[in-house]
Amino acid sequence: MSTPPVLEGVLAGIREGVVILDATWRYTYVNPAATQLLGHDADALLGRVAWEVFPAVGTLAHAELLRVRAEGAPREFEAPHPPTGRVYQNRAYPAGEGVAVLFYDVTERRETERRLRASEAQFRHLAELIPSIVWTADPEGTITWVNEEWHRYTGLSPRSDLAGWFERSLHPEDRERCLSGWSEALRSAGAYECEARLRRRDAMYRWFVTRAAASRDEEGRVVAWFGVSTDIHEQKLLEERLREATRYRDQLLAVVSHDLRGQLGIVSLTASALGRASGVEEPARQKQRILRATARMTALVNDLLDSAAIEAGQLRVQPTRVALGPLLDEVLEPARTAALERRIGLEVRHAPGALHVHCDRSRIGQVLGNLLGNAIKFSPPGSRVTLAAEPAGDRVRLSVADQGPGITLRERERIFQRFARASDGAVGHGLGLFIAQGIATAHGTRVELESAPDRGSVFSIDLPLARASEAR
Amino acid sequence: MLSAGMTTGLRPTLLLVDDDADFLDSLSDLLAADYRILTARDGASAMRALSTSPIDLVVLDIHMPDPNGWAVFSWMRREPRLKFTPVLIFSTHPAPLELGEQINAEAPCWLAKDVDPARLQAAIRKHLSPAPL
Repeated sequence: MSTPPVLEGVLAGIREGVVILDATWRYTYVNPAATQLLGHDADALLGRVAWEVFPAVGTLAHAELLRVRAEGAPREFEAPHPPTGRVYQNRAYPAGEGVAVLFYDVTERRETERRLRASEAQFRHLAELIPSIVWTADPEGTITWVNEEWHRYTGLSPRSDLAGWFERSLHPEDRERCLSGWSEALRSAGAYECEARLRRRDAMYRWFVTRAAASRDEEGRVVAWFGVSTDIHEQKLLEERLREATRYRDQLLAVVSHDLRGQLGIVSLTASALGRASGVEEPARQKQRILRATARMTALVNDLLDSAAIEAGQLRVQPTRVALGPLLDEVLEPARTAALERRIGLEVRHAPGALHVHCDRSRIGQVLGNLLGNAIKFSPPGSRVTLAAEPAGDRVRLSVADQGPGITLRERERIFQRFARASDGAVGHGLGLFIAQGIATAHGTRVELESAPDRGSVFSIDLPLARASEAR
Repeated sequence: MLSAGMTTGLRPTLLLVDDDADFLDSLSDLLAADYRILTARDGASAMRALSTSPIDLVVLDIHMPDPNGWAVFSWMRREPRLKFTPVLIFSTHPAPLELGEQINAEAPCWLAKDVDPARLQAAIRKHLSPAPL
């Protein structure tokens, strides 16, 4: 076969192998690349039947070449070349009575692809072991693959629910923050991290930290995103508890430093002034003042211990059969001075006859004393505070009603919390109602509150009537 | 600046402000021998006293129902007549200025309520002495 010199030069220079076989499958032309790829000199090939040089009868290559000649149409196929152990991509064209074949080595490319598949299989295997949601996304951020954990958590199916899953699963309060960060990461191809609540299969939300990083090719173009969403819910709850404990400690320190220091100041200032005062009654007055300060400090320490016991669920009560009349009198007695000072009328109402309730006498006395103290403290001068006991069925309702400013709905939850005060700068350490509620809870009941703005407040507690057989 | 007490040759006048009556009485007992004492149980009464009486030094509790000690102090610093009146402040929080530091128009003297009575008296004496003008 004759070829123009220019074409001959081209064929000699290209990297693809070119062979031409005649009607009897003899090599009539091989270019230098072909001799290299086939592993034989041109002399060892030219004029010889291809199937003699390479026993290929019955192989894919053989069948394909037969078809090209039979059909008179080009074919493209990939086939291994056992003598060299390489894999060639072939394009075969009808050439007169014979066939021309252009072929090139794709062994490395196939090997790379195989390794890539193996590596991907390993990645997925590893991804299934991670107790987190692992996902991949395309450069635009559309999720393309997720591990099994995703399915376990979301209950969704990868086939139908994958696209837009992250956006849709975010808690409404976290969505904007997380998605704007994600858009920014996609734009800048930077690292992404976001803490957000993701919806579980049962529609509950749990806290996750989601981290993602872009995977780049050799030119630095983003080819994919890898992401891991890890459940940090328990950790978040612990952090919240820690914050709560720290807040409590700070409040505790504030109360101790303010309230105790004030009373300590009274003791030390008064003690320093002892003997200086001119009046005859002064020493007695000063002694009383010191005793009041120490009593207040003792009460504060007791309140702190009580609140700690309540917080730890360790407040114990010892209920006995208690006569209500004497208890109410006892509670009323210390409140009289404060009421008088603030010009507040104190009134007691209880049903005729001797009522007995089943409760811890000193603890319930403490609750009533606190409620009464608050009522007097927050009532306008000239108003009335009523302590009442009303039997209802097998229970007795003890209540303290005032004609004060009332308590707003918003305040109602808060006032039973530790260190809650009526207002900033208000007197008291803010433990009273917390302790009262704790004592009520230990009795299996609650301190209830009815109140309306400008209609006053009624704090009440229900206790069981005591049967006569319980008398000791 | 001449203080009321020094002007009149009488004992200097102190205004003691605290919502705790016992604390107020304790302070009065300690200081009554050396000073003329006025007291106020809340911020509003303190401002009234400061508006009507010549006062040489104020001992002020921060933690009171509104207007609290801060409100009284800020108001004093805006009043030209009271701008330079020394103020000793009782506060829960650690003093940003140690006792003994110079009192000026901006910074009051801070004390804890359990301050040693002798140190309190020393602080009062120090801040009553005429400031160099």
